[in-house]
Amino acid sequence: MASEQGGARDTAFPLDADWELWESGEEPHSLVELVNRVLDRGVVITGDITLSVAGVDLVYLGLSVVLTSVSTARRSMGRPVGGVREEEP
Amino acid sequence: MLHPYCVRRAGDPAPDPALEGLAGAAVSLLEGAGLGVWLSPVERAEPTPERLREHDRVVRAALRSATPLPIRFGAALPDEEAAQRMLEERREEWRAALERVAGCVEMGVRVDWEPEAERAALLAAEPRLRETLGTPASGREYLERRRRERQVDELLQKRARALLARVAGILETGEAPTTQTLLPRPEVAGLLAQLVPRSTVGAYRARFERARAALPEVELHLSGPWAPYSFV
Repeated sequence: MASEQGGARDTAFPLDADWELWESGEEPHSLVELVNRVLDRGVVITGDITLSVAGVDLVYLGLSVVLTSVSTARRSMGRPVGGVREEEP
Repeated sequence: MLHPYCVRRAGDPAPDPALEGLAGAAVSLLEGAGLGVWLSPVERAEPTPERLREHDRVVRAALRSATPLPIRFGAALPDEEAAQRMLEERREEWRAALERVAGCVEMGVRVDWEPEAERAALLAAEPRLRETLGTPASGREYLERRRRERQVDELLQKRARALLARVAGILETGEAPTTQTLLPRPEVAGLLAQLVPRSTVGAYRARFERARAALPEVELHLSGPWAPYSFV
């Protein structure tokens, strides 16, 4: 686990074939995996929102609205919403 | 407005001046509170596939030199002062998160199955459930049918969970932090995201191939290395 590494600084990632393969972006359905991460995961910040969905600006709205708008955005892109997400220690 | 991509530790390498962010905008580094955030000026960030790819491309560029905390797409900061305030406010939380993911990358495994074949196998094993799945002739039959369909769904979920456990077992990542999503859509039994040390990506791929060979009845897809989107 990362937390067991005593906060060691990263060492540069070896530029091996594994990395390059993914970087080529040839993997089928990679956009689905990308959308799933970029729109639904990652650190949430409470900035001013510039998302616009179906022509409706959602500028300067709060966090709860962001979460709704992201779901809407995913639907409007033809991407599925949800699934049962389970966290494991 | 400023579009934020990711958070790093102060002192981590700055973005390459040639790196292109959203719509080709330059990417800059703003440091404060022992942290750094990668930013681009934007008019508006629409969640189109192009913009999402550009966002991830910048996060990926950061990942090459040190694991960042990726920021979810969809928010913008009015100016650098707001970015600075954000770093101050989230200082403790983000420093702890950066420690947690240091030296690691996220690998993603998607398990596709044939939903109709799974359902058929389930009904073959449980004839009792199959009986009432025809056209209902009365309200009572309709309710009974609904109840049994729910049972089928629950059993499918159970099968999906067991399948993912088998995959995880072959991947031998018992200690790795894992996020699992069951049945995000009918043709996908589940998604696994695992946080692994970046030096073990090659070994992870080898074990993934072993899992693929061991489970020919389903289709396994590997993606990554990603920044730790599922672990922040």
